[in-house]
Amino acid sequence: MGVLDWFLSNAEAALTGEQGGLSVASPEALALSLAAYWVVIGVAGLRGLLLGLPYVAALLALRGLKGSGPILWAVGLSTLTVAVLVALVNPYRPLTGAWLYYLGTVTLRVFEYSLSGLLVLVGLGPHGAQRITARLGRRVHDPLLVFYRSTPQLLADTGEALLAQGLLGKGAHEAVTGVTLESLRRIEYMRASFYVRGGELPGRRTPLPPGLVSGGEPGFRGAAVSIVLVVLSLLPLAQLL
Amino acid sequence: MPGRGGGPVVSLEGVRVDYPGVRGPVLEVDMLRLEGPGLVALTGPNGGGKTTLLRLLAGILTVFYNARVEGTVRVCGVDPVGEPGKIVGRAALLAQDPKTQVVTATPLLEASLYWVLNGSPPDVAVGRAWRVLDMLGLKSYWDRHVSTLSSGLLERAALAGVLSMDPCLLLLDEPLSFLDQPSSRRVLEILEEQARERLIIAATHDPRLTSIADTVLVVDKTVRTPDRPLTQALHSTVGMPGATASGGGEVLVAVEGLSVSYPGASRPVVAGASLEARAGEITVLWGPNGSGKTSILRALAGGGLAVRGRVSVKGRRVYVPADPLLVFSRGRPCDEPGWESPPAWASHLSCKPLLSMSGGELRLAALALALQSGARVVLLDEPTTGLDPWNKARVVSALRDIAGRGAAVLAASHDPVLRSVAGRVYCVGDGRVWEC
Repeated sequence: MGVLDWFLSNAEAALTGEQGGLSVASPEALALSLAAYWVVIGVAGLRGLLLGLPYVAALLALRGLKGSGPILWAVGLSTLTVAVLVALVNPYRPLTGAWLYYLGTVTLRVFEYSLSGLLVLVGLGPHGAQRITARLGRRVHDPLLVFYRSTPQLLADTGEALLAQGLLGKGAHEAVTGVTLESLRRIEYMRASFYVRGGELPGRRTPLPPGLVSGGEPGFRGAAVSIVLVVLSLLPLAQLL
Repeated sequence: MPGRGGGPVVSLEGVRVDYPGVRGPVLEVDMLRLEGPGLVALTGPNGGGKTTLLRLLAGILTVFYNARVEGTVRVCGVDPVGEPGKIVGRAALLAQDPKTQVVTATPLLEASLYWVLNGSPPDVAVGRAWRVLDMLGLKSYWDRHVSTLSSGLLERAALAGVLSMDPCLLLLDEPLSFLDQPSSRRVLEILEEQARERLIIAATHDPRLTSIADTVLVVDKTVRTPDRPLTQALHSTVGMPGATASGGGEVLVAVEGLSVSYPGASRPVVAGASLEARAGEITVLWGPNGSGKTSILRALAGGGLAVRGRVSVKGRRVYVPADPLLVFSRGRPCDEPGWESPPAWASHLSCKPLLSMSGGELRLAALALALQSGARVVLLDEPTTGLDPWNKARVVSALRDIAGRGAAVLAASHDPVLRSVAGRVYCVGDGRVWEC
C-alpha cells in the first residue's frame, strides 16, 4: 500500500481529530497542497495574481469536499489579498511556485504579529486576543486551522513582551515593537531555512523598516504596513460576517 | 561528489568576509580543508564568526546578508559564493532555534519539503520523509502541528527537514542549546550515527558535542586549532565561583500552592507548587523542556493564564524571557530607555543593531538591560543559552554580584553550570516542584 493510500485510509480518523487534532496534514489537504505546488511550479515566471490562483483552487476543491460554506472563501480571499499585496511590494522577481509556500508562511507570520499588535494597540491584550482567535478558529475549516494553530506562539510572544517590558516601565506599544523585532528575526531565519531546501528566493534580503535597525523611533512604520495589509485582507471576511 | 568519492568536502583559501556597515572583516581564513565523513565542532567566543562561517558554506551569506566575500570557497564540489543556487541540496543548514528553522505545519511536511520543492512526485517525497521520521523516532508525531511539539521533538523535526535531503554536508548552529538533557542525548546519538555517513560541521559551546567531535576548531575572526585554555574552558566553568550562600537573606519571593493551567489543557502544567527565593541567593528551577519552569517564572512576573495559589514578590521585579529580543523596544541597546551604564561585558554591544547580533550577543544585551534596572527580584528564563564559556562566567559572576547586593535571582535553566552556582535548586517535573 502506497503512502498516499495509507493517508486516505486514515482520512476519517484524521478529519474527526481522533489522531490528536490534525490540521493541515489531512489527506485531502496534503494532496491538494502538493497539487497546488505543482500547478504553480508549472507556471513559473507568471506573477502577481496568478500566484494565488492555485491556492483558491485548492480552497474551492476543499469546499466541495467538506461543504464548509462561505467562511472558507473569506479566508481564501483574505489570504489571496495579502499574498498579492506582499507580492507587489516584495523585491524578489520573478516569482515562482516556491514563492507560494514562502508567502503562505510569511503572510501567516505577518498576519499573526500584526493582528496581535492591533489587538494590543486597541487595549484588548493577549487574553482577549486568544478568545477572539479561538472563536474564529472554531469556524475555520480543518486544513485552515494552521492559522489558528500557529497563533499560540504569537500570543506567547506578545504576552512575554508585555510582561518583560511592562516590568521595565514600558508600555504596550513598545511591546509591539519587541514582538515585531522577534518576528523579523524569525522570518529571516525561516527564509534561509526555506532557501537551503530548494525554495527560490533570488535577489537581496527584504529591506527592514528603518526604525528597527538604525535606532530612533521604534518600528511603527513596519507595524503600520503590516496592519494595513491585515485590515485589507480582513475586508472580505467582514463583509461575509 | 567530493567527500563521498575522495577530496575535501570543504575547501577555503584566502577567504575574507565583510558585512556592509561593519568596519573590518568579520572572518578571515587563510586555508581550511575538511574531509568527510566525520564531525567537526566549531567553537569560540560569541560574535566570533561561527554562524557567518556556516552561512558561507550554506551559500546564503551573499544571497541574504549582502556580505562581500573574497577568496576561493568550494563546498561539495561547487562554489557556494559564485553559484549559490548549486549548493542547494548539497549543503543543509540547521538554525540554532528550531522555531525559526521549521517553516511548515507538521513534521511530515517539514521532512518532505525539499523533495516537494524540487519536483519529486508526492508519494516519493512523502516516502523519503517517512524514512527519516522513522529514523528520528518521529513516526508517531507525523501529523502533530509543530506548535504543539516540545522543544526536543521540534529540534528533531527540524533535523528531519535537513536530513531528508541526504546532504553531502550538514551544518548545525548550536544544535543542543535549546534542549534539555534527555533530548540532547538523543540528538547526540543521531549526530554520531550521521557522522559516519557525511561531514557534519556544528557550531557549539557544549563540551558534550566537542567531546564526540573528530575535530575541534576555534572561530574567532579566523579559524584555528584550539589551544589548551580553550579546551579547559569548554570542560570547566572558566574559574566559575562557587555556589551562593543558601538560606541567609530575606525571602523576596514566596510561592505556595501555585497551579498554572493553559486553556484547553486536561491538567495544569504546574499543580500545588511551593518555593521561595531569598535575597543574596541564586535560585534555579531545574527540569526538562515543557516541565513548567517558564510558567512559574511568568506567574512570578505577574502574567500567565489561570494562575491559582499564593504568590508574594517583594520589591521591583524584572523578567528576561527565553527570547531575548522581546525585552527591547528600539533597534539598538544604546537607544533603549534604561541603558545608561551597561556592565563591561556588554558595553561593546551598546550601539550594535539588534538584528545584526548573534544569538549569544542578544542574550548578553538583554541580560545587561535587565541588570541595569536595579530590580530586587530578577527572573531569568534560560539566561546562559548560547553563551560561550567566558561570557557564561561573566554573566554568572554578574548574577552573583547583584545577589550579593541584596537581590534574589531566580532562573529557569537546564544548564549544569548555572545549577552548580545556585544556592537553592528546585526540580520541576510532572507538574510538581520540589527542592533537590
